[in-house]
Amino acid sequence: MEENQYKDKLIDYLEGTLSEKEKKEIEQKLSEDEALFNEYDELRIIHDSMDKSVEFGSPTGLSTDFYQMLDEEIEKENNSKKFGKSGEWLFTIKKTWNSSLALRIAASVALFLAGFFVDKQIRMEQIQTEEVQSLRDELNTTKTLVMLSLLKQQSASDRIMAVNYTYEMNEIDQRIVEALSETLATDQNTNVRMAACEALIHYKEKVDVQDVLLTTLSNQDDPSIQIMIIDALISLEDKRAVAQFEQLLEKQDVIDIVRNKAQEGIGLLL
Amino acid sequence: MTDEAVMELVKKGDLEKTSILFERYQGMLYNFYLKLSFETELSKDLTQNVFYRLIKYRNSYQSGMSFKAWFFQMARNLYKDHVSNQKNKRSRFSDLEKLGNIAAEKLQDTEQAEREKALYKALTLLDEDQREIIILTKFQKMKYNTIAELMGITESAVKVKVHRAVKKLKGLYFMTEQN
Repeated sequence: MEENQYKDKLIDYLEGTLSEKEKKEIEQKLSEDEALFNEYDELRIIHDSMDKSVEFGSPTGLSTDFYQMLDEEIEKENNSKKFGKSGEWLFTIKKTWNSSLALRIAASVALFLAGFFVDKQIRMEQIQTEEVQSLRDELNTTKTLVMLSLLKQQSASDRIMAVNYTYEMNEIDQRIVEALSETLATDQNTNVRMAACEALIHYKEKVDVQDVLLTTLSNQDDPSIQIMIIDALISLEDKRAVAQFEQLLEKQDVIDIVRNKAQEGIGLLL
Repeated sequence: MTDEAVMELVKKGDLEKTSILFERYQGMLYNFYLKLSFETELSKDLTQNVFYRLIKYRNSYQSGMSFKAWFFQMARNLYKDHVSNQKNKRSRFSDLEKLGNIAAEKLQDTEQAEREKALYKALTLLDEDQREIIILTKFQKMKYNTIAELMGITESAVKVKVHRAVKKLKGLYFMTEQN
């Protein structure tokens, strides 16, 4: 063995992996060489320390945790054999459910609250439907009253506003039809009459306004109202309108455009 | 029954046999982590986790392979993952003193107790890889060929690493002992 190799062999010597021959050689050298011996001694101390080093015992809970985990894995494995992949999911859900008291409490609270609110909701809906219906009726009545009173106002714009109110009503009753008809027949302001006429025509599908329109046509002297009514009657395809149109044609003060319109109406309706 | 034979059964689906391996290796593994990290809670968690992985990845165990090598390969990887995780880098060796004191109590011999503390301190000053190989060879008494298998290097390379690490440790040990 060469000089510098001795140092390298010291660890092997301590580990006991040298051959008998090498071992003897090292031991011989150690008794002669103090520096080498010091090196050896330090290595021996460190090895000795490591050999005697304390082994710590397993911490508390490690075993319990392991066996719990093992049980779970075994159950998971069995489930997975039985149910395939979905078994694992079932297991995970089951595990979470079993392990968490909080989850179970939360679930029961949630269920209770859900039941409470569903019940409340159902009751509320019943009450609400009834309430809403009565409110709606009330509102309609109020609107009708407001409208009727507004129609009696001095100011034309108030009366126009009253007429326009009728568009907001979901249901239009006979009183309103009458009020509008009266306005159309008697109001001294053309614009108000026109608005009333428009409103009546707007509801021509819903209520029977044809008679009103038929009777009022000959009384109207404003050409735009006349044309409006003619158009409406044509679209309603009421053959009774023909007689009215003819009557209109006989009148002296009817302008040409209206005459033409009436002629056209007669042609279309006959 | 050898570790390998037990592991073969586990691999075939006899999971209950894992308990044999647990009883054989829990202490060794826990101490491996303790001296690597000097953190008790972490060591416990990692130990538990390795056994979980053993079950989960049982099919990756190849017949003919040393169980110990395969097992410690998982253990190493788990620790490396932990260390490389940035947020785990903050507190390190947090139980160093506590473990030194527990060990000192057990040893009773004052001189040996002081040596034990110096040894722990020196260990923490080593590189991660050197600390690991010291623990495997000197504390766990693992054979070089097993370490070669688990690290995927040759036996002579293991030997070189061990010798270097021991020399380094010796230097650190006597340095800390003098302080």
